[in-house]
Amino acid sequence: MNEIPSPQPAPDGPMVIPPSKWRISLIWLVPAIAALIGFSMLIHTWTSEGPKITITFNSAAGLEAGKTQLKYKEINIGLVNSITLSKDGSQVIVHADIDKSAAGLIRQDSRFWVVRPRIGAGGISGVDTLLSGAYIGMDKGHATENSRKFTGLETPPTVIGDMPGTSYVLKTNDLDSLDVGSPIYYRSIPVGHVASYQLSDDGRSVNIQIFVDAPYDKFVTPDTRFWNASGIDVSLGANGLKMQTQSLATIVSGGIAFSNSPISTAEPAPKGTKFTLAKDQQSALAPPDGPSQFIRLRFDQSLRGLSIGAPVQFIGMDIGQVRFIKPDYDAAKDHFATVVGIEVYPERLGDVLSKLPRTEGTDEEQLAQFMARFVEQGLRAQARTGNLLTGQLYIALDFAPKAPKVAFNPKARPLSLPTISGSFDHLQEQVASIVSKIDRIPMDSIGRNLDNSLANLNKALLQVNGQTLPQATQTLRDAQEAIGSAQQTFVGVQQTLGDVQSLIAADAPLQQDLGETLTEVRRTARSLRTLTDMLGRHPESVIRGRPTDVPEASVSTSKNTPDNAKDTR
Amino acid sequence: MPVEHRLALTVTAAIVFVIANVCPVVHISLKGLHNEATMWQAAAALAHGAAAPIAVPAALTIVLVPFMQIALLLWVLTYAYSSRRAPGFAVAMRSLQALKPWSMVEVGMLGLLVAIIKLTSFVQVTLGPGIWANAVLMVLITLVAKSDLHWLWELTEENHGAEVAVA
Amino acid sequence: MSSAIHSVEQSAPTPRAHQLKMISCHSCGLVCEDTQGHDNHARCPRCEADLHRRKPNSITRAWALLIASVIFYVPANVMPMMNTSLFGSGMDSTIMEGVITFWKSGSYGIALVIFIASVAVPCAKFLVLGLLLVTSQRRSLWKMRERARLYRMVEFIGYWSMLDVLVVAIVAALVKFHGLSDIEPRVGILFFGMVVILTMLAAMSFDPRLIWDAETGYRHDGDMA
Repeated sequence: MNEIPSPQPAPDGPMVIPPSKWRISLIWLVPAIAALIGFSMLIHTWTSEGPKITITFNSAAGLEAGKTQLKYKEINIGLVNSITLSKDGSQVIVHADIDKSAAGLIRQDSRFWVVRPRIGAGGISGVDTLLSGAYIGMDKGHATENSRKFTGLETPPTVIGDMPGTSYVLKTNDLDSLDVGSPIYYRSIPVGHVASYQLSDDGRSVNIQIFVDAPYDKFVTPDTRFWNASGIDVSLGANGLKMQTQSLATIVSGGIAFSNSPISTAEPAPKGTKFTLAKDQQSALAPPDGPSQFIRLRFDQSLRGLSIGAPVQFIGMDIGQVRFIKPDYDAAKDHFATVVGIEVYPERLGDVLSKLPRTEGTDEEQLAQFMARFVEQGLRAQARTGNLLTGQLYIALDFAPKAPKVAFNPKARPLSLPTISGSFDHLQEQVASIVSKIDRIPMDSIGRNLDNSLANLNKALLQVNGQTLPQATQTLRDAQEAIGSAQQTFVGVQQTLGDVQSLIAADAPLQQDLGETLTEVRRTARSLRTLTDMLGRHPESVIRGRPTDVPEASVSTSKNTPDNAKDTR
Repeated sequence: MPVEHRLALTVTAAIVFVIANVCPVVHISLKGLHNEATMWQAAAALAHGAAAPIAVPAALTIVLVPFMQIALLLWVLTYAYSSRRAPGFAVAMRSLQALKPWSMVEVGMLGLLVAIIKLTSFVQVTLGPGIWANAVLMVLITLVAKSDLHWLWELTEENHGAEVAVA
Repeated sequence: MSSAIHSVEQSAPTPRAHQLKMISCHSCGLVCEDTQGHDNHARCPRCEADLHRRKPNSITRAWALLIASVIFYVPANVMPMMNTSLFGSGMDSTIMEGVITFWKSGSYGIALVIFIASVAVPCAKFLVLGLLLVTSQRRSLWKMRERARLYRMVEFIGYWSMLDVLVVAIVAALVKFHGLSDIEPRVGILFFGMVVILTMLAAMSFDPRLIWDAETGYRHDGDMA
């Protein structure tokens, strides 16, 4: 046994307090409190748990256990707990915990559906769903009993909640650009929306369930006309470009509009009334088409650009459409023709029908008689260009007074209308003739002649440039000099003239001298005349001298002729 | 601290441990999306990333080791309450000693604080009941498990007689 | 356990346990007679834990663990520790980047806390443990009391470095909005966690009594002399 030096006094043993079975120390309050808190939390979670329900869906797309929420009127009322497959694996069972506060909303006829993000119907609805995934929407039922098992709807129901309003059914051939939520307009005010749509049982039409909110549902009467008011209704037909829109929303998601005739006084239509959805406003508001008649047309030309459904117009009014287009071979004439079948609705003429002369018989016979009458006046069918851009054709029934007479058989079935070639063909012919005229112009020889002339002109110009011009230049220069000298000469002449002028001035001595000289010359001349006269009378005077009876000539300047005249007899 | 007190606090710690790990500690919401996590889920979140192995030490330090500590202490202390040594006392005591440096509930609390401050900048943060439980747990474990336990040996020694070291 | 005990008599040096042929159990603290030879091991009579005069292979193990943790510290800081994605575009961030982000956004306190826990503390541990190991190996007598305090400090703050790992864990568990925002842990945090664990193990392997062995010239076989 070793000695253990103890630098310190040996410690006492610890004081062991014997546990008292009867007296519980205060320290136990601490765990008691903790237990209490924990317990109360447990109770709290337990009691605040709402009902647990199961909903059966076909697919769990977009649903996530622990994340997907259930919403009623956009408020969270629950959370998806887990998603499992049904026993046969055909369906998905969604277990959801509903908040206690919303427990009262779960009724036996409550409906559940999955709201997935939708882009359409006036914009993107619920951007949140794009990020957070789908949620389960709910409609409170009216029943009084509760239930815990539900079958979910695959598409949202028509009437959501207790929204006041009425639902109706529209029948249409094509859904076009409509979708769930597409707005419904009355006088351009959105008053409802499309709730759902299904293909009809026979697959030939689509039934659309619409919901019109109160108080606008009172405007829907059995006479109401509905039409598809979708924005992008750009029809580039033979009628040209047509575009109408109700609002921007309709361009995105389509829309339906309705209106009543102003004189309609019918009562509001009951819920579920069936209407037909017209393609556009025009066809909706148009008077009913009435029965249709079938007419056959035969064209000898190519009808490229004519499509089935192209309009048939009678004096500018839409009266029908093309039903079919077929080629036909005429063995007698040995060439191909095109047979067009059109369907006309005489009733579309409207009130005019009453003004037309009455006829009898069945509708067909009546039409035949009409046609016989007007064919005589020149009614023909013609394929005209409706749209230069696309080259689309339409059939026009119009009067062509210059058309050659054609026999019309009102008894032939199907009724056959004579045709004439279309305006476009005339245009083609004219263009063809112009082209051939242009072709006949002897472009070659004109060209050649022109060429020669040009060459000659070229040479001439060269000559002019090379020779004539320098000569001319020289000549011009000479002329210039000549003119210069002439100018000088002229100056000299001017001076001379001036001298001359001074010379012959009235008081110039020259003039005086000249005057005297002239006088002398005159006298001389007179004397000479006298002499010659005398000599003429007395030619012997030359020899004998002057006769004595001849007086000496007096010189008088003032009197001359009478004296002389006497003298010279 | 007398055995009774320690035992009471350990029992409290046990209850609080359950609350701390069952209830989410933090609840966040971002644009209508919600998420929450418990301490266990936090450790498990590491397991899915590229740093998967680190999830084990994380889970150990904030959940498993405190659990072991509380469990062992309860075991030992209930017997010690009547001055007896529980079966496997030596193993339990050695284990408790070894576990001491690896119990990191307080680091977890500070980590929660840092994480909350980090998250408030872009999400909305709400404290869950788990965080309060964790705070209390942190205090309790420090009181009962992080202090010296040698005295337990001596306390329960009497029943085994005075031991004289004979190697 | 066997630090110098201040007794009334200071003239005579206080005996060490091995001089008194005593050994204490590191697990239960019982002091019992040390009769083991060099090769055989004994167990504590009361708790049956292995008895060691000094932690076995203390310096070797501590060095190994310390070097390993230093090596791991490089990828821990270089590789990203988590990936934050917002609306699909993700961004990796390392520890330092996280600190800088916090600092820049004005959360100076958080930035400081993370910096201390993730950078200051591990680096301090590296330095301190390295210092302790070197000085103990060289049997230095330099500032032994301070070194002892350093060791206690290392032991105490060691495990707070785990903070970063837990922050990443909590944040990754919470921010899980697929497509909108997502946070995922990356490999960097694994290395960092390893660093923390390894330094903790290194500190646990180091026997602080070795600091004082230089004083007495006690050499324990099995140490790196």
